[in-house]
Amino acid sequence: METVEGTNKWLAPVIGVVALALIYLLPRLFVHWLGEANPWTNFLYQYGLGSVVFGVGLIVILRTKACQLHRRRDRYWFIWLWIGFFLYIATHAVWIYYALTVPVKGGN
Amino acid sequence: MMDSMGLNLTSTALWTIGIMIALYCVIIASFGGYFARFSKDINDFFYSGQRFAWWLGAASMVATGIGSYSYLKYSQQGFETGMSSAMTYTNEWFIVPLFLFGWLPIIYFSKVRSIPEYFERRFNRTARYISLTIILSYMLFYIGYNLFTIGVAIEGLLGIPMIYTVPIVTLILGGYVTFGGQTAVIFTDLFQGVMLYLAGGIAIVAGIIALGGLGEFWDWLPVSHRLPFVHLINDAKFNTSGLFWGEALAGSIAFMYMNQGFIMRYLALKSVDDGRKAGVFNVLVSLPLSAIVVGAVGWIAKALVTKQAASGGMLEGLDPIHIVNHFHTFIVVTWQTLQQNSIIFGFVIAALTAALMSTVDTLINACAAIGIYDLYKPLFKPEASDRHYLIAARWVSAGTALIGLLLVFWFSQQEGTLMSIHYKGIMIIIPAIVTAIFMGAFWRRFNAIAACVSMVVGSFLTVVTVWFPHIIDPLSDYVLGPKNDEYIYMRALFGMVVTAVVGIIVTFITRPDKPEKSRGLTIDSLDYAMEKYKGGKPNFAKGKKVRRLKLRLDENLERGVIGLPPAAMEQMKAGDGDILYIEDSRWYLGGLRSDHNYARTMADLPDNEVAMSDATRDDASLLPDNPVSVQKII
Repeated sequence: METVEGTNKWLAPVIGVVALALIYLLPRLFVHWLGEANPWTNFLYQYGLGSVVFGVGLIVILRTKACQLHRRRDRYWFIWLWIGFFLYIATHAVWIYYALTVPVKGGN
Repeated sequence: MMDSMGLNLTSTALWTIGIMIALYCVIIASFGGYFARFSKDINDFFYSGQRFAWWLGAASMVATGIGSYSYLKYSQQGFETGMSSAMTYTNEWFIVPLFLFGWLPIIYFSKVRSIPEYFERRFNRTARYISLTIILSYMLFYIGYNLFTIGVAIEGLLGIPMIYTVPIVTLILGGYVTFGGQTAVIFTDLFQGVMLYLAGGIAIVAGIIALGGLGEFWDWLPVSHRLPFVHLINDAKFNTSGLFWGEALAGSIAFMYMNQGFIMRYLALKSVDDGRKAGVFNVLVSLPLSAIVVGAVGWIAKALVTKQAASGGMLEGLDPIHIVNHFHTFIVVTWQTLQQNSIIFGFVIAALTAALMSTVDTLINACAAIGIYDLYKPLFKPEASDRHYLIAARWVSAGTALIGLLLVFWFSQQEGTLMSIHYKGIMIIIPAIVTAIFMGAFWRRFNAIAACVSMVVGSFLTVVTVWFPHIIDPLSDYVLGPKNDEYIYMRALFGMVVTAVVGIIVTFITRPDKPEKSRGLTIDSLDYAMEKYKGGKPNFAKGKKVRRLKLRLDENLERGVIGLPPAAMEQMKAGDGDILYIEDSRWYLGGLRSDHNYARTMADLPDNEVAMSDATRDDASLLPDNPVSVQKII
């Protein structure tokens, strides 16, 4: 059985360049938009850059056919990847919301 | 009376706590000793023969992931920066896709015994020994660090110098790991994981009650301490940008992809699918829960101290809480909120010891695996009996425990907080190896020369930044990280980038390795890996497990082959030659009595029976009169 041959030799370099550009631009965009001290900046930093890493991971497993969506178990785990990703995002977002909105007794 | 760590412990309390710890250690050692009987050969000793259910692996990972230092370190962090102490436990998901669909099937189907062995098969022997050096440094560092922190805790608590306590703890640990092996480790870790959560839960509930309920806890916690993320760059030693690059990426990759202890857990499971279940459960459930268990006392401590200050210096029913040394937050606050009850407190401290034992036992077993498969077997005794390797493995386990013990004396000479010693060490050791693993597994063109050169140069330049931290400045600036001379996490990013750049350059200026060298060992050749693992074409048809079959002994069947009636084969959608998993029907054994075998259709067999030779039955530790379940693996 042969290994999976790449069909587009430019894909990896293009993904690399786009990822590097996003790593440079996204944090600056968030800080410019919200400021360094805003709790949502940290949230966006982690999930903005995390999405780049997560997205590259998904592209790699699909392009290399390590994950073949016509196989039931692969499809099942692929869905779980998304569930986990959004579960973490939602949990952290709700957490920050309640941290900021519930009044504090002892002062900030 | 004795004043230690700010606690006024009476001699009765001291004895009670000491007896609780001793009792706990004896129970654990006996527990491990019982499961030693299931290690029949060298494969069982280290990997338990790829047979356990996912939940057993996931549960034992809890105890492996929580070290004795975790309670102390994260409670301190929780007290100082709040719920952001949970960050290191809740930022792993980004690398999960490549683990579930890439690294896990690669190591499982290729049947590698250790990461260094992977390096030899994927690259060459030089790469194997470079990686071996780095991985052993990583694991020995962790063993020494765990022993050291428990020594510090016991010394402060009981007043006994660590020179006496650490050797005793090491002796007990060395005892049950040396004679128990992986099966003992998995089952003791299952027990200890429960105890860890129970003890942490007691400490948390006591704290919440002392505060007056969950609502009070949240109300008295300052906003800065409620947030799940710490400031982006302000704190040089704990900041969101640094934690993302150093912990979420480098640290998580090291834990999931490289930590031999975790790798062996996955290799002990019955299938890749069970490995995926264990991995997902670990990241989605166990790690966030663990973050609460180890850090919540610190959060509670902050709310208590804030409320105490607002109430005029004392809370009803509690002595005033003064946390002079933040490192002792967990012990001081738990002692107070448990109303100085030495029996319950003794149990909580015993769990602290359990955290140490469960982490170190895994690491000692992992070091022994590497010692046998990567050093002793290939270099000194390539052809020997399993019994010989088993005895050698026990000696290596004992030797590893001894080295860990010696490292304690080195740690005790170091300056700085425990947290800074920990991360400074780990972030120097891991970057080059995690990058090489990544490039090796996910880029077929990455060759042996590039792997060797990049690991050596990457490690060297990472160490150099300890004396010349300004080298990291441009990179930290690029990712909008902190800019100072106290780089901890950014050092890991620097190491990864340097290793990757060197690896890419050397790969392109040197000749590629032969394609067959990497077949089955990279993400783009997994179908080949599965075919090789099975010894035939993989069968992906989705079938159902066949339950409660009676055993029939048939000496005409070869060892490792089981016969099944056509109805059972149809239910599993299995064919002759497929790999089946047979286990005792009692689910709670988690695969303790089980094995993988090849399928053969036996048309004359009744629908409720499965046939095998006595040797096959004995290999699986199946009991003649107990029904079994069978399922297709591949």
